[in-house]
Amino acid sequence: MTQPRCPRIWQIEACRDGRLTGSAVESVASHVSRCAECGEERARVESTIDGLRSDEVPEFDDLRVARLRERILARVDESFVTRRPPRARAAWSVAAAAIVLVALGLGRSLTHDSRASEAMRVARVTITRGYAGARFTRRAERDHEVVALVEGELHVRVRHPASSRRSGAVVIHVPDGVIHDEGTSFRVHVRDGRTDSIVVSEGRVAFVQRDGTVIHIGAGQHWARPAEAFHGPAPSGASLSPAASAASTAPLASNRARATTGATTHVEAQAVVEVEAASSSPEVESEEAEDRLYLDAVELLRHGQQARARGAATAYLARYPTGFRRVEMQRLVDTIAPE
Amino acid sequence: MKRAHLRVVESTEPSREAACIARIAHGDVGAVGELYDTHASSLLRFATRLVGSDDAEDVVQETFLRVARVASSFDTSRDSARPWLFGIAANVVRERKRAFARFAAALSRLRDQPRETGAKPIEPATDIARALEALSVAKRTVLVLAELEGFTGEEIAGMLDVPVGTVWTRLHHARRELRASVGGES
Repeated sequence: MTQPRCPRIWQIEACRDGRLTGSAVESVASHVSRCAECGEERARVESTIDGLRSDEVPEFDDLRVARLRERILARVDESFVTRRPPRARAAWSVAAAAIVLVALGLGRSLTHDSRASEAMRVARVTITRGYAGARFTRRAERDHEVVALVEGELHVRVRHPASSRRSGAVVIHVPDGVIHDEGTSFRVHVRDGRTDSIVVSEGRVAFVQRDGTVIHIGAGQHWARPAEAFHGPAPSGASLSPAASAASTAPLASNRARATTGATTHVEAQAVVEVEAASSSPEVESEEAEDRLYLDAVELLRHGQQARARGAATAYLARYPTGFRRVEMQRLVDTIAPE
Repeated sequence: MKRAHLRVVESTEPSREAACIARIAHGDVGAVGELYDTHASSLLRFATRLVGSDDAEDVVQETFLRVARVASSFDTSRDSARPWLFGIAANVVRERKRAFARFAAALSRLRDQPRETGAKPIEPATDIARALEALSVAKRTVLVLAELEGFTGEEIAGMLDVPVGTVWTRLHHARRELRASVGGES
């Protein structure tokens, strides 16, 4: 490349990068229209950049972007949990207490110190999955976790230490009521300001509605609005009948009182929130099965097997009524006429 | 001769984004989702240009994890979170490249002679993409931010925490090298 002869050639890039402004820019424009060398330089710069701009990168498909979103939210949630100050403070307090006790030569009595052992008992409230668009907040109270679910679906698991199984580790506020856990694993879905469904895998939950109605949902049961859509094994001891509801209100009231006053006699269990490793979670296995069913339907559709695709979509909706891809699957069912 | 700005218009409403980031700082995971929904596609595109599509997802994921960590440091008087997000993404890319370089150096020290790994690197599809990849990460980052994402030199300087003069120098050399690669100039 030969040395430029025009001393103003540097102004091409200077203008482009905003190092020249106002009348200087006008002067350069005027000069370029008269100077062949500067005109050529500007054309070369613009041609290179135009080439760069026209070389578009492939777009990420929606599914990939949605999956990445789920992964990121799960990891962010995990990071929020691990840095939660109350838990950190509790850990430091326990550590400091242990050091003091050792320093005082009370190691022997430590083994009998019931308060220390109580402090080590931790009930884990795990939000294993917040579906796309799930909006919720949570905070740790003295001995339990409070989650406010505004919209979307959450999967919640409570794991108690073997020595301290109790209810009330988590309270979920939904727009139309409050859900109390009774040592359980469950998922709850809120849509349009109303609780849409509650599915319990283990243990029990009590859904206290705004009008005071209490609905107990046990393991393997699925409550969905409207109230008659109650599936699963016969609810032993748990009923939608007013009598059963009234009978079960008392322990809940005591739970609520404890939640608001924090008046426990001792710290018997501290609620913490964590997000589990995806590979070890049964929910994730279910997630993969859900994905497979969805992909099967899509694959069949792509191969023109519409009836089978519709069947797969129907199976998806039956198995995952609140699934991540339910809208697409419902659309597929609606658009393909049954044979 | 006024430069035609290529500023990509995202659906950014300054006060809304600042509020969103404030919510992230208070531990609201849903707010991270909102920020992702607004900026994910442009960040993925940016990361793809810098590291390729295979690693772009990792870069964007790490970017949002950092956002969650440093949300409280966001200057709420800023018009938009976009420069802040791209700055974080650029730093993630830079650190990944450094880490990879260290790993590669360690690997080369361990082995006696180069071996085929079996996995062939993905070749860029076009001449311009190859030319872009041939640039150093620092130059490529500045070039993409300025010419494709529409950031000003001052904004890029703030994002990368370097003097604006450094940005202009890198930009100048990046353009020269790109032209030399594509057009055969020396």
